[in-house]
Amino acid sequence: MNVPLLLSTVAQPVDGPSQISLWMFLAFVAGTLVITYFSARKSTGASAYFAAGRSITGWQNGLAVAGDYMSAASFLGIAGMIAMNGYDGFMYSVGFLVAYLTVLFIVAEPLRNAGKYTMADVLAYRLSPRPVRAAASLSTLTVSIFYMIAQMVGAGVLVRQLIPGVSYEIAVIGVGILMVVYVVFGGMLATTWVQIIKAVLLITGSLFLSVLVLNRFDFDLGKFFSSLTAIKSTAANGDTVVRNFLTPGLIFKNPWDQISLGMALLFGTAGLPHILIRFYTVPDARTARSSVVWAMLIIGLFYIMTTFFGFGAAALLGPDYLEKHGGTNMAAPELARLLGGEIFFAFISAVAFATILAVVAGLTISASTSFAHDFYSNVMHHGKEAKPGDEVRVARITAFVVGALGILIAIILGPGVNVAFLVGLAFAVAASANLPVILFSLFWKRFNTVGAVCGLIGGLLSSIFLILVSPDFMKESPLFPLKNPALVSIPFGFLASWIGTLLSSEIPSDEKFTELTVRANTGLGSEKATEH
Amino acid sequence: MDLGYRPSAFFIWGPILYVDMGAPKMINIVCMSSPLPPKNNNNETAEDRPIIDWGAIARDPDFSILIRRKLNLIIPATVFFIIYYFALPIGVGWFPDFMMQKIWGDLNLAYAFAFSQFFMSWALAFVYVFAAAGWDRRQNALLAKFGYTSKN
Repeated sequence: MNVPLLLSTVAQPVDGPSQISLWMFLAFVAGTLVITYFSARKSTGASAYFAAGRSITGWQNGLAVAGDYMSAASFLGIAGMIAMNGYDGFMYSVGFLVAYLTVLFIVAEPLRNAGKYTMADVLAYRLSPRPVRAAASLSTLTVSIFYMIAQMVGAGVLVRQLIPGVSYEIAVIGVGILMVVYVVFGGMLATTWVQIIKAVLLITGSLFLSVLVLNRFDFDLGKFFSSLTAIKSTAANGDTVVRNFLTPGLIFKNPWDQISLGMALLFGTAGLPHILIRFYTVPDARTARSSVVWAMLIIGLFYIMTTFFGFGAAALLGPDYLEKHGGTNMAAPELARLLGGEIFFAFISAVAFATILAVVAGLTISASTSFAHDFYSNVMHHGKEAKPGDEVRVARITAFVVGALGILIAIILGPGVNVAFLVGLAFAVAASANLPVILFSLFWKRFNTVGAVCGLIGGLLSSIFLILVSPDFMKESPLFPLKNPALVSIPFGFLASWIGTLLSSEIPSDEKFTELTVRANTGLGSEKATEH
Repeated sequence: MDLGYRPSAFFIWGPILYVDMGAPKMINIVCMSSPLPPKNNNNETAEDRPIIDWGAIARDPDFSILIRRKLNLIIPATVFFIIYYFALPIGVGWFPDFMMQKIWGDLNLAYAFAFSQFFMSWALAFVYVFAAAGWDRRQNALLAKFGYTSKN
């Protein structure tokens, strides 16, 4: 129904420059659909559908993890924050990379060794599987769907700015249909390749942008940083202010906000379900390890480059210019227009679009995998498939439903809604609900089912509650002073897991703990790569 | 597959290429060509895998050594990076004058310290990968003692 609508809009004649953007968007879409077609021909069986047959190599998975992780909020949002207010925006960049040390040191290898398709496989290993999987699935669906809606609203707003003539609704529907097509037909293999291509495009685009910025300063870093010490902008009252953009504290006045955000990033990344499932796509823990290192290299390079294109936009365009030309999110594309003309603007716009698609596809597959594998197969059907292929069939239906829901909610919320809190919420829930339970189930012998359920539900509810009473929601006199709940909700998640465990008389079997420890540390008995 | 540690390869290719034995297979683009040869050809299902005596492995002193070696690196490294990371928001939040002092041209300590976090992360990842190559060898020796390979 919506496809002809989308096509008719696409076919309308539009101005020269935006037509270049459009052709680049379409080229990316066509390329990814070809990949989906070939993946669909290959993708048979659950392991192929959910875990790409565990055939992804280290560097491929590293790129895919990076592609899954670096959202439009990073690319456009952080660039814009740095361009408008300087240094404080760069502090976001730092946390996004350091967070991968938690992934590398603590979760990637044990998860790959002891699990099959989802985070809950490890949690349910030695506990009573049904309640644990139900709670884990609830937390996964919450994180994935909230995060996805944030991305889709962002996509709608962005595409509307990048190609005049395409409305918010059509952009949301287009992104929604594409992500569902990738996931339903191509499964994990197609999603992986969409993410890999996006990561390559994003790094290429950022690299070009950074080099062109430095070229303006004769590749002299001293000159570059000096140009940032006096950035003129117009304050709300109309006065011209001159600020040193290397000064911290131009946005964040309360240091506790920074601490809380830092905690959400550092401990949330290792609990993000769409990142965790990526480690099931590689043949073994050793490859999982190398893929984190590849991802860290790419993610680090990208976030270092936010210095050049973020500060570059501040120095070369200035906050006032950006305010008049599309606002914060357009800093990177506008900078590209200045440095490389319309073609480069179109390329950077297409990169931003690819970025959104890769992230939403990752979120859709993590939501549908968790529902099909954890909830449908293991909670409703006690881990036995009624007939072969059921789990994959249910996952495909779920992906379709999740996509439709995402489109619907993003359209109902509309382009004006503040989505930053949805992203904050995703990281906070991952940090407060998922990470404590992953840690306790791997390292605490006494940890039991009640503890896991209390931790998952407690971390989830405390994050949601604290966000609802935060300054983002209660403008006047918020009950909770911080924008991100992690400072309180992470300790609460640990506490809930601990108290829940002690309140229950269930003592999990020693043998199961031994088995999990040996598995997690040696990879003995782990899921193997399959033939296609 | 050789999991052993070769210093020459390590220094030539760096840790990233070194750990990633999959790299040369990059010609296998997308899914047009035939799939990668599976790294292990065991097609047996969970049911016909041999019953593993987990307890015996767990009680083996070599297993305790393996775990201890891992924790000896992971715990101090985790504590270190958490302190190093939070020193940044604490520094710029509560000691802004200290962090705003210029250290190179117009570049201040706040930016330099934020920038250093990237290299700290890469350096710790490098140390981890280096150490983990040793854990892999211990792990394989341990499994071999019980008649398994890491492919079981």
